[in-house]
Amino acid sequence: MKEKQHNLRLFVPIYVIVILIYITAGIIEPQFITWRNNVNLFTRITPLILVGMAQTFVVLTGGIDLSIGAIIGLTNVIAASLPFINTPLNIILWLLIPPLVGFGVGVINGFFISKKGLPPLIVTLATGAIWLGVTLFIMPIPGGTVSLSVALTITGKLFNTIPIPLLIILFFVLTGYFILRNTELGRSLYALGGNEAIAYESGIPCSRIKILVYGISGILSSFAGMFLSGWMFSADPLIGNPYVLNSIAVTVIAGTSLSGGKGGVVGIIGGAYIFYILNNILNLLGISAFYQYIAKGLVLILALIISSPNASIILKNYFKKQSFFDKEEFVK
Amino acid sequence: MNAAILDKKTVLKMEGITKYFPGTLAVDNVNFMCNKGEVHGLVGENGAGKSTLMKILGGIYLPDKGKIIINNREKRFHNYAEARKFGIGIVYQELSLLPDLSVAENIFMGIWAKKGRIIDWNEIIKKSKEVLAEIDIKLDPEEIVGPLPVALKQMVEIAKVLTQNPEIIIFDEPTASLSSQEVSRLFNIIKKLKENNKAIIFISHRLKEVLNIADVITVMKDGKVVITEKKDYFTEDKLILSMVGREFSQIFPNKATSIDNKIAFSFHGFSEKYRSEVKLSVFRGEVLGIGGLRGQGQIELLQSIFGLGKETKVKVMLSDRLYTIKNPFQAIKSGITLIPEDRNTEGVFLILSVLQNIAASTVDERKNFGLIDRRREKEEVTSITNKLSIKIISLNQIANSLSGGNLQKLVLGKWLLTNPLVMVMLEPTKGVDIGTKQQIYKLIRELAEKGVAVIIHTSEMIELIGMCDRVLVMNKGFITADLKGKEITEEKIMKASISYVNILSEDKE
Amino acid sequence: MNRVFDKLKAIDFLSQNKLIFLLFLLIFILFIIGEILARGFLKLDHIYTILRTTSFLGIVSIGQTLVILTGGIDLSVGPLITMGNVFTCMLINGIDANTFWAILVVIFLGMIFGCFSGLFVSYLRISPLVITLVTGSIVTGITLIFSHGAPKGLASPVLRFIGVGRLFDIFPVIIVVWIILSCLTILLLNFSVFGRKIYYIGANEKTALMSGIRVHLLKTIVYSISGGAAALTGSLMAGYTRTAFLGIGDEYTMWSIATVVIGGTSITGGKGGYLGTIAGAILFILLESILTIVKIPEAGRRIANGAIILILINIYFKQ
Repeated sequence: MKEKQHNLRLFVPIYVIVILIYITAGIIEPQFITWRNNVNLFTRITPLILVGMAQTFVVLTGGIDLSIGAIIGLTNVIAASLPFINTPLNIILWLLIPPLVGFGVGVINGFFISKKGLPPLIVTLATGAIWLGVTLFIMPIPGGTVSLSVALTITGKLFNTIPIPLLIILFFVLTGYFILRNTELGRSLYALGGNEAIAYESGIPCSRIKILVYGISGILSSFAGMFLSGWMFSADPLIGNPYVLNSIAVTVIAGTSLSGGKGGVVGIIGGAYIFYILNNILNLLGISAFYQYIAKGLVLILALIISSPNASIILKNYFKKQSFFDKEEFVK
Repeated sequence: MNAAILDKKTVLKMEGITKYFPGTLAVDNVNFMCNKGEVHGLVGENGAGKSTLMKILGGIYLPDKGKIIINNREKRFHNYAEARKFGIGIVYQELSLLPDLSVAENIFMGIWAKKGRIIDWNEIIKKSKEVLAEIDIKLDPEEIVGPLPVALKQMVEIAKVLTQNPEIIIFDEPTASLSSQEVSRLFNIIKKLKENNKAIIFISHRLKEVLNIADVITVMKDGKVVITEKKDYFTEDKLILSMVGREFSQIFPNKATSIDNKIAFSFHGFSEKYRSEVKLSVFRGEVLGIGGLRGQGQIELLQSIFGLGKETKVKVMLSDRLYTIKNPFQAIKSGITLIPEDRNTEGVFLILSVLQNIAASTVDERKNFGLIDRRREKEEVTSITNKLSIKIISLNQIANSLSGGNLQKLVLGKWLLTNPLVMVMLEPTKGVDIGTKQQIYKLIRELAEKGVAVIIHTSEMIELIGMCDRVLVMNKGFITADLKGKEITEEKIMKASISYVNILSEDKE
Repeated sequence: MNRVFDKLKAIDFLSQNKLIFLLFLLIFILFIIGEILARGFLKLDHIYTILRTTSFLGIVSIGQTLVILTGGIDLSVGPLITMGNVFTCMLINGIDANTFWAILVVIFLGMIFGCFSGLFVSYLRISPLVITLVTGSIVTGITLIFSHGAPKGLASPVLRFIGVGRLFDIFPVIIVVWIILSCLTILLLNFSVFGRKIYYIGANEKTALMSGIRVHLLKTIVYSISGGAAALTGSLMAGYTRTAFLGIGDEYTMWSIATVVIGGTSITGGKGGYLGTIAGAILFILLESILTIVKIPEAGRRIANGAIILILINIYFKQ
């Protein structure tokens, strides 16, 4: 089949599901479709989308980044600990320092994975622990603050109608899509994830790209950390913890294969929506927060089952009647 | 070396190339030359050194001794990317395409056309269409590669190689999966490349084809060049003689003189992929071969005998008893064993010891209240190691230090310990040195004489003809010919490989 | 010729166990350092305290070792320990008679969750990383729901005895429990057929399958064992802490992986064993105690945890 068809198959189902959920949820709980609820939703899923993109980039190359949560925490805390509060200098620092830190941390991950050839799972697990420790060292309990204008801007509206978070989401997703589709870097990620040996033989600078992709993951995570600092108006060293699993969930739901070489960011908005909508509905229905853990897990399991090639084989075999052997008699 | 080459422009000279691997001398002081506008055929058995020689040319191995001279300049390359820069292109048997990406993207992998820093897809698609047109292929460059048939994938591979404008193009076993129509198409492309003054190296086991397309032929044996002559000098028999160096009867043990009608093993299966029914039987004392073009269902068939088939069940008959096989565990319990095609990934545990490798399929047999009986294990493994003459220093030696031939013996040893009733072998002598090959041939014949049902699938025509008492040829998932004894010839096998007659449906009255 | 043969055998033996020898040497050195930094470090009572904590880590690491040997990983052990801790207290409620069956139920629950993960890993070929993270999340939710966010219940006197008591007034019971379980684990891995098959699966899963080993079944069993071991650990911890605490198991996920890695077991599977994990566990807790003595805050200890893993895989991976 043609490439366009191939890509469409990837994310159309997700958006169909999003629409279905919307309609169903709207019928059950009309409050769900109010503009207010949706603006709220945009804000809440922005960090999800950012980490989803971070993880997608890494997973496309066949790797994984478990330090995303720690990087969010680190940059979150740094963003809320900058001096010269409520002056333009603070805002400049807020814009520059966390991304640099995120990139630097990511590159360190990339170094160990690429140059030393160590398995990404363990490396990012270990560095995650290290950065979490550093974060706790900088700010043991929630605190800190950001400039008022930052907080207002992040949660504000452009021209008093378009929510800034929505703009942020669109900006990053479109940029991400563009990079993946039309730049050497983007296409190299697919090649790396598809078959590293072939990518190498084609002259693609594999080690450099691997380091870079973890750096990108770090920077996107830092944006999530910065966003959270503006939204919460303070920082929490442990704020990033749930985002590790969340980023993987969004990546998988969006159609990217964990083994690499397949997928993309187009489905991420839909994926983050589905993931978050569940929590939103549960809240509106008054169900205890505890059930969210289970709901989260079940959604991810469903997504994994659907995307697993084995599942369809097992289901097919279960439903197919093995009539062939019953009819034919065995010839001696 | 015979200087029987006309004074065309010599583009490639390999002088004194030597390459060692642990345990064998893979390439021994080889001299090899290529001219522009000429097809140079390269033949030799498995293990003769031709793949190694080409891998050296492709930058995958560094020669221990010798020089590579291209256009009168000595070159050393450390990887394929460097080799490509100097004008070498290789079309491998195992294609180097990324199945999830489009044809165009595969062709221009790593060399994307750009407008500034942005990839210019229109340009890439346009250029892809041009390259494909050059080789007369009608293919939409936006198609995803994965689902394409092998023949078309190969065309994409060739297009990919051509975009680099190589001066020397190597074709490694290109026709193994192609029908004669597709082979003709390939040969037309090669002829066109010849006209464009490219130097072509054509490696194949199909001697008739080599005689057809090549201008000059080199025969390799045991790592050395035996002879290099113009095509006219050779006949098929002369080629075979040069390749094996002695009479057929001296490499292969004698075939069975008379086969009684007792059936040792029967199999009845249904292929999901080809929607076809397959039945086969092996008589006591015979070695059965499965032939045909690559990818026609032979491997699926043999793997499903072992319980690896995608269809859930398979019925076999062994020693007058009926068994249903759903997975390898059940297969082995019934006495069926399989020597896989790729032993490194499917046959051996490279990081474990020789002892652990050989004991792998029989650990359950030596249980003592759930614990391993170490004394018995050591005894049995040692005895097999001696029987197969596996060259090791200690049983605790790690497997990845062994040569290809010895590793294959590890796999054989593992199965022999299970006292198998059926032995299915996929490419039994792939990557194995000549000495070990002979031992394996002898072993196969011994097993057959003992009553073990041996089924071999090999892409080496010589092996098929030399070892098997009977050959079943498959095409499109069903059996098209059942050749016995003197009927087993390259010609008959090739003919059956493209036949659409299902002999099973002929039997049914 | 025989002498060469024997020499080589000796070399093989040494290189495999060289690491473990070095680790125990390091343990010895750390004990000395501890004594230098704080007198009384080497007092028997203090050593027992260290070994008590190590026992809990050691028991949960039994499961993690097995899982990692098959080439997988279990990120659900933390939540499972918490679950074990909370449910045990709830079920026992301070009554001796409830102890035995409560622990049994908890282990069984742990094994069910482990089996769940295992089935996804084996039959659906889903990455262990992802599925155990998911299972962990589900277990966290279940624990919260059943305890309503505020765990109730009490450990029984019997359980307290196991957690903090001493056998014959000398040996801490929990350490004895660990020793027994360690012996069983080492017996399993090094001497049993099941253990040998685990190594085959970790060395090359495809080859193991093609050699007739029931890979799917065994992997599912291994994850079940890991789930059960984690739940048991949480259960026994209740004897130590008397009441249940949410989040008590959180750090053990990282810690159990750290001990397995320190112990020299290859993260890709097929090489290593529980003896190394034992050394790894002792080393790990020793390090933690020393860091506490030197008054390094929790943040610093976390950094040390991660750094140890990073440094060690750098060293080990070269081999």
